[in-house]
Amino acid sequence: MVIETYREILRIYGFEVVGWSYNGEEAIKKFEMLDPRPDVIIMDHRLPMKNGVETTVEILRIDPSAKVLFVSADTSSRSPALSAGALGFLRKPFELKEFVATIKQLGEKSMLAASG
Amino acid sequence: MSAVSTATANGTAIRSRTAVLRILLVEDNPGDARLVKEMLAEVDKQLVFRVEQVDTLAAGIERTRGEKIDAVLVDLGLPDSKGLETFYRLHAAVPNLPVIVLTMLNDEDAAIEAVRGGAQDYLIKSRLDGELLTRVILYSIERKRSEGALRNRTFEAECAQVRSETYFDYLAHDIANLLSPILAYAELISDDSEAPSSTRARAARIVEQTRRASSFILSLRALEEAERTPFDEFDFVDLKDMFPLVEGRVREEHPEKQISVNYEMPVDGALKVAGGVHVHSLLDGILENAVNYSDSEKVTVSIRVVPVEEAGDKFFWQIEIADDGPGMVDELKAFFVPSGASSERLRKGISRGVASSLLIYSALVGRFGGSGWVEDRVPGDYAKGTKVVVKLPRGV
Repeated sequence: MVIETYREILRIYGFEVVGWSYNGEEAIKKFEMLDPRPDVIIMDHRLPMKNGVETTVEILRIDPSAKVLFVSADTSSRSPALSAGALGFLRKPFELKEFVATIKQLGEKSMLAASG
Repeated sequence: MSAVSTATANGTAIRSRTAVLRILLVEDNPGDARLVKEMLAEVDKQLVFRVEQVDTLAAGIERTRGEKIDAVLVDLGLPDSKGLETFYRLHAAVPNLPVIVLTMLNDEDAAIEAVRGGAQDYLIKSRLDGELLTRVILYSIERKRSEGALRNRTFEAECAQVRSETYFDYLAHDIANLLSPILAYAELISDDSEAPSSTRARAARIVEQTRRASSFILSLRALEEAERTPFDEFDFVDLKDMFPLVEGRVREEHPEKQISVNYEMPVDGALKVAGGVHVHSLLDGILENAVNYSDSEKVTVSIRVVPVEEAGDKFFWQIEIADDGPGMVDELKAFFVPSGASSERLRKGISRGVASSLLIYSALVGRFGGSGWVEDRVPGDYAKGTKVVVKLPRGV
């Protein structure tokens, strides 16, 4: 439900959603296969297989220039997420305007992948 | 010891049918061993002691691994172990068995030390008699059993605590997650210029309520976190930093109101109080209530901070936040008492529909080692507004 909502909202605001996954491991595989790489990755924390922080670490190992925006209802994940290299953190439920503005700030181009 | 009954609160042992107690006697002196056996042989008809004797500590420990033993009587001076070490080695091998130390008159100190280390009791050999010996054995068994039951209950309570923390975490996390699409869609509709204005207004209501639900979850989370934090781990924060943040947040939340806030506090120096980030939640909640529950568009809030000293060595900053809102009836005021954040008061408060924020603040203030109460802004006339007073421990 959450992923569908994001996809719809992102489309409405003019972003292209180039991929999504429901678990951390799949997200890493998809990220590796995407060419070109997405401009922004939206990452939840409580994910099956690998959590958001672990997934962020792996993705940044593959591509240190990847831009990860963390979105989670688990506020305790904020600090580990930022330490892992995420560039932003939004607590769920977030304000739509803030969400859109943050993505715009992070990504120069209008392509992104959603995860979570 | 299944057939033996329990010792009652007034100290009488009730024995309804014949009970057999297996006693392991670790004693190398044949004379002392015979004496103990004789004393235990003729106690009473409903209680039978079956005494097994061994000469060494090694044999004693070996025997405890065999058929069930109810209690151990041990002499500290044995061929293979002397003094306190005898007790410690035995206790380490059988931590769940009641151990009673037998000692000589001139070695009472070691016996007392053994009791501190976990022995149930000690007996001086030269002062033994059957009645004393029986009573000490029975009570030692009973005490050990209660200790075990208490340990089990504590363990169960800790497990239940961890489970309810987990349930709470799931509840808070998953509801916040579920609110996410609700808020997003409601915002979409309320911002949609093509939608009818009545639809947009209704969507704006959903946005507002969803935000409230979300901040309510945050407050509860903060409180739950505070509950798990040991008191001395709360950081000190400066009230002078907190007030502008809180005032800014509340103004932003209520653009429809004309809010004026007056401050009266010591000009020089910081106003440090215990409570870390939770102080922000606390002040935010109080100011939010003052503004939100006011019927009028103009809200005036007066904030005053004064130093308070208690019992000569306890120092607090007393924060008074007074509003000119609709006031609070006495019955509600009574719930804002931190010492009253007992489970009984909480349950009563919940069942009476007391605003959750009131209960949350009072519990928070109590956790920081502070206190607080609610009074009328104008004494005796509750309809003229509310004054919330919070006293928080002063930091350096």
